[in-house]
Amino acid sequence: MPAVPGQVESHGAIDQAIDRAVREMMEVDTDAAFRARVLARLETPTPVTWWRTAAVSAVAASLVLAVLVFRLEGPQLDTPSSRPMDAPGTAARNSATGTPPAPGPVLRGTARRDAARPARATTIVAAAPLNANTSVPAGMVVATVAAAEPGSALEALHPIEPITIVPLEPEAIAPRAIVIAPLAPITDVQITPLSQAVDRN
Amino acid sequence: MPESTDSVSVSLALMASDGPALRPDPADARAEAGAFDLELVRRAQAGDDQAFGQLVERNRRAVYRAAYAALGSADDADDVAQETFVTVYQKLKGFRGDASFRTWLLSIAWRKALDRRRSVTRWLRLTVTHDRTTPDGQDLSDRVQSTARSQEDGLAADELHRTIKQLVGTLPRKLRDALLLAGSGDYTYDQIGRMLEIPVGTVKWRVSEARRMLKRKLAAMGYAHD
Repeated sequence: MPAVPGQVESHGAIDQAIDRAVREMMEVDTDAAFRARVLARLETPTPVTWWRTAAVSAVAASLVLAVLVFRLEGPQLDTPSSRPMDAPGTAARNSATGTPPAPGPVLRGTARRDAARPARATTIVAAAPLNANTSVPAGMVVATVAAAEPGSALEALHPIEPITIVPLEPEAIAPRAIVIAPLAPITDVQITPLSQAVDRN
Repeated sequence: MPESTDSVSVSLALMASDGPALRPDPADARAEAGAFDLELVRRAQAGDDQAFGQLVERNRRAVYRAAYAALGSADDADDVAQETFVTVYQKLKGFRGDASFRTWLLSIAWRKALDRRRSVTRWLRLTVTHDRTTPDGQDLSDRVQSTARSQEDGLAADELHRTIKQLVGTLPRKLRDALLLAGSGDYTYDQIGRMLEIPVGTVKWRVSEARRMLKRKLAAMGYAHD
């Protein structure tokens, strides 16, 4: 059933030609060694897996390094405002309840971390403990002084005079008496009669 | 249940024989082959690598042709077919047999082939100005048409077949995939539907539409079309 341009070809012949052409296009097969290649590929790790493992390992190593660097180079100076337990509010609460602060340093240094790194010059610790027998009266905020670590290049802080805070005196609220004026009497309502409707123009 | 590949080979040989009395029903043969595949899967799941090797041998052509239909490249199809069997080996423990092994295998092969085709297409888009344009800027279907008309003295059926093959390459991908898979004769419409993830009715429509487009193009080139 040769079919060439210009010749009249039956519908069935064209269909058969299409079927045959498509079948020929799909007449492909693997070679005999395909099975062996697959089995060999199963026994050797694929490059994708190797790269995936390497990528995961690299990310994990980067995270560990980042944590280490952060711990070594992070902020070392503890300030009272950064430590909630030592914030002024704590002393204020103690004064309000009449509970004296516990004897000992109010400012807590970074004793635990600094014990591991005593050579760091920027670290300030509570190296000057208060007298354990000191009793602080209620209503008084006590500030303590942290001295520099021996060998530190920083100059030690000077003592600060105790600050006395006068307790607040609550002011009583005395509202003035409320007087309600009597309502005015209501006058009679008068309704005027409706006028006659005017014709529309 | 067959105990070895020999019994399946015998049944396939019977299928291939010319005697009408010996030719079994294709549906029965598929069921038998599917049951044997399932037996091999069970053995492979238990750690029998030889059984998996038999699964590869029995299904490699179907997998390879599916990949070839999607990619049109023998090398890419071979690589995708290998990847498919590696993936199947890794996922074999999770295969429960809800669908036939062959259908499951072909679905994986088709997905991998599509992934490869997307990557190949992306690369081609970066290097070639147009998908269906020849280096001299001429559309492929126009070139096919002019080539066919310029060889009117060929008068051979092979010319028509060559033309059809070239025209198949110009079909929309969805139509071309369905036409090639159905035309190969290796897959049922149900398997093609599962591979393409479309209903069987849509598969049939795409095949029909592909043929209609081919005939219309052939008619425009001078071949008869009623």
